[in-house]
Amino acid sequence: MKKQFQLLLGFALLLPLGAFAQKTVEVVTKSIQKSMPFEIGSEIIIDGQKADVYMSTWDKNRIAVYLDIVASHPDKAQAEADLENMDYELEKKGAKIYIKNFVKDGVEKTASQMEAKYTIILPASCPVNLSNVFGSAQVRDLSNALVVDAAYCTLKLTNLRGRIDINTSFGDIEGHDIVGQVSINSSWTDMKLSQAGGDWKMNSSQGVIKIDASSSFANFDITADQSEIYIEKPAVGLFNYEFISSLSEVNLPQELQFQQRTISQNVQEIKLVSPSAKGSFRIKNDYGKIVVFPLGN
Amino acid sequence: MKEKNRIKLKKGLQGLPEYSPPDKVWSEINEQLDIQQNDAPLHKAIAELPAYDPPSTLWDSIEAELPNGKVRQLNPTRANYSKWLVAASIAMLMGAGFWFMNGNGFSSKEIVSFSYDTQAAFEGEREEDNADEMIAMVVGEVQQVQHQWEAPETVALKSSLDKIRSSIKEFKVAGEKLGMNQSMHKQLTDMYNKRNKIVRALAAKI
Repeated sequence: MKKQFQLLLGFALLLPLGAFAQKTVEVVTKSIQKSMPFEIGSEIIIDGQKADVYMSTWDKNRIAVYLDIVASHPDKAQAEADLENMDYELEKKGAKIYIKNFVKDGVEKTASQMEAKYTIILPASCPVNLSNVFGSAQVRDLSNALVVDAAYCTLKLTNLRGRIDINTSFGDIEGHDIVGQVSINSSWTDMKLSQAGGDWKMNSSQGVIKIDASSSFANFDITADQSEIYIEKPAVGLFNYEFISSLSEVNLPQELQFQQRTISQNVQEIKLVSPSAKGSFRIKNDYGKIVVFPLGN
Repeated sequence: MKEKNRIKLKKGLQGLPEYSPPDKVWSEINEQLDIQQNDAPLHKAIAELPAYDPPSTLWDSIEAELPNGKVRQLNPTRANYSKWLVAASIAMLMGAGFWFMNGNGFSSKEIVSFSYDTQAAFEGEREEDNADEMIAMVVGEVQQVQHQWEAPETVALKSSLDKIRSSIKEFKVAGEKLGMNQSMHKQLTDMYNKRNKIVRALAAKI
């Protein structure tokens, strides 16, 4: 009976995928461009709504902003009309630069599919504060400070240094070459990290975290619940491990001599200390999974 | 072999007047190099502009179509002037474009423009009509197993299920308000999959 039920459920909830039917839409774009001088103490604050943000750096003392507000609808006139429903602000108050796009007050629903596309080029040392919902962000080459507050948003972060604070729910993070003081609070967020360095403090709920440990020599301090944590390709002798696992599945490679101790009925402590360690994994996971992949795989 | 006039040569060289360049000379050279570097794409683009020759019969055809069959001779000075004006305008526009693209002449003024395009649209997936019913059935079945229903892991799963279902609703509301694009459809599919994973974990408790 149980098996039958699971089978039925497996079919019913397998994959809610449908075919993507194609039709044509008219795309109307309002493009805004502006540049501002970068001064000491400048900070850029972006508040995106259904926005795709691309951010990169250059060696000029200016911050350049391109913002496209896009409305797509099969009827061009409707797309043009809806374009007016999404507004933007782009202003400098003191040293701070505020950029945002938003749906105008009183607009309940748009017939068109609306989105905003930001391209921001700025000096690497400019601190950035980015909020975004229902979109994506690609940020690269910043060297000072980055704060991200995202929901339903995919993040691609590359070559970042300095202080990085990320709050995210329902999104994916792909991080490559990030070195610094990193703090990530996430829920329902899947992460893939490579070439990480520095000190990472992570809180993850219902996420999947994959860390390429062949190139990441950071100190990871991860508190997780209902999350899956995968440590991939760990280099021999270069990490200290300390896991507290509460009702979690733990898979360890036989080549490494982990010490396991039962703290209470459902709680296990797993440790491995290497004198030559260059990084560490301190992980506490409840109702999840910790996997240390076989070496070199 | 030894230079016979070595001493005279040495004296001569020592006697040469010394010259120190002005302080600004290096910075000016750098500026010039920067200008040349910035203009290089412009020169390259101009050199690559296609040249079109009109068909040889074109002028004969035009002349034949004119009422009296004669082409009025333009004042050569004015014709040249117009030609140069057009050429100069194009060069200035292209120069401004490259200058802008290089970021040197980035406009501090807010520039707003509009453009139009036609693209393929995507219609997203439909959720199974019976998903809510199935979830309720699973939760009901788990509830029957008393020791499982109160277990901490089941409590955590139920809490996660409630959260993700309310997030799916929130997401759909936003999708209805602003329209669902392809990336949102993908996110929604991910959310359905995460929800389904929890439901399966709950079903395993039955």
